Amino acid sequence: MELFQLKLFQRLGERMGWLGARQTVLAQNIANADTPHYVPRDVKALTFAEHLTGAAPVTQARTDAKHMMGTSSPTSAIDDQKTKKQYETAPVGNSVVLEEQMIKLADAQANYQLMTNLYRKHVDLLKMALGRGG
Amino acid sequence: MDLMESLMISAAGMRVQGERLRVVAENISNADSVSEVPGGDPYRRKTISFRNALDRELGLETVQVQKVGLDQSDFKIKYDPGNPAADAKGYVKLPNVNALIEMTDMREAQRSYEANLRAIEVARTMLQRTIDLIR
Repeated sequence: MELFQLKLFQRLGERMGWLGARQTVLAQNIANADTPHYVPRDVKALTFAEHLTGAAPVTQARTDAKHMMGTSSPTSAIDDQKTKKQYETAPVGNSVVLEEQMIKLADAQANYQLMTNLYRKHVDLLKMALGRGG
Repeated sequence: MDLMESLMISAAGMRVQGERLRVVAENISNADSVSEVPGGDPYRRKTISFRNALDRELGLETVQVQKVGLDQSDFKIKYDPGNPAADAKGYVKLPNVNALIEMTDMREAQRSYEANLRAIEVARTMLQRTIDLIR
């Protein structure tokens, strides 16, 4: 049995991927804390409702082998965008607030830990079902 | 891999802050450097600016030093006829370095450096937790 065939592990993996992507975006914001005209970015929130409706990115149907696919890939689920509501903007046009980014970073880290702990807990449950303790 | 990219981005952030600190140090150490010839221009304060640009090697956008420029503001002028750099009327041009501005700049660089360091720590912890899953 492959672990990833279980929906639960699939979701955990997806969430971990999302948190990793968010961490990268936040690191980028922090690195640009003093860059003129830089607007901080954040990834689109991963919602449970989207999972249920299966909101996959829409692509054009390829009905003929001669059809060429566009060069730009469909926007992925993990999509970063400029933060619309900004806390404050410095005179040079930079709107990164380090404290805000730090809180987001701590949040991403805590959630990541939650995901890894859940993962381990469920592996332990499977082990228990196999009769090897857990 | 996302987290490795994140480490690279933070490292670039730390590098530019280090560069900035170098410029600040240059300005502070030259705060009293007058001209070598009588009536000439003294040390001109240096400025540094950053930009977010694509690093083709990594395939990511990282922060880079845009340019190290010169502060075009006026020099301070002081009456000091005994100074070797004084002009015919006895005035000496002093560098346009303001210690207070340099100190503020230094503090900001330090704060940003620490923030980048923290981002690296977080990415490292996340990586470590992922590796710990196989235990």
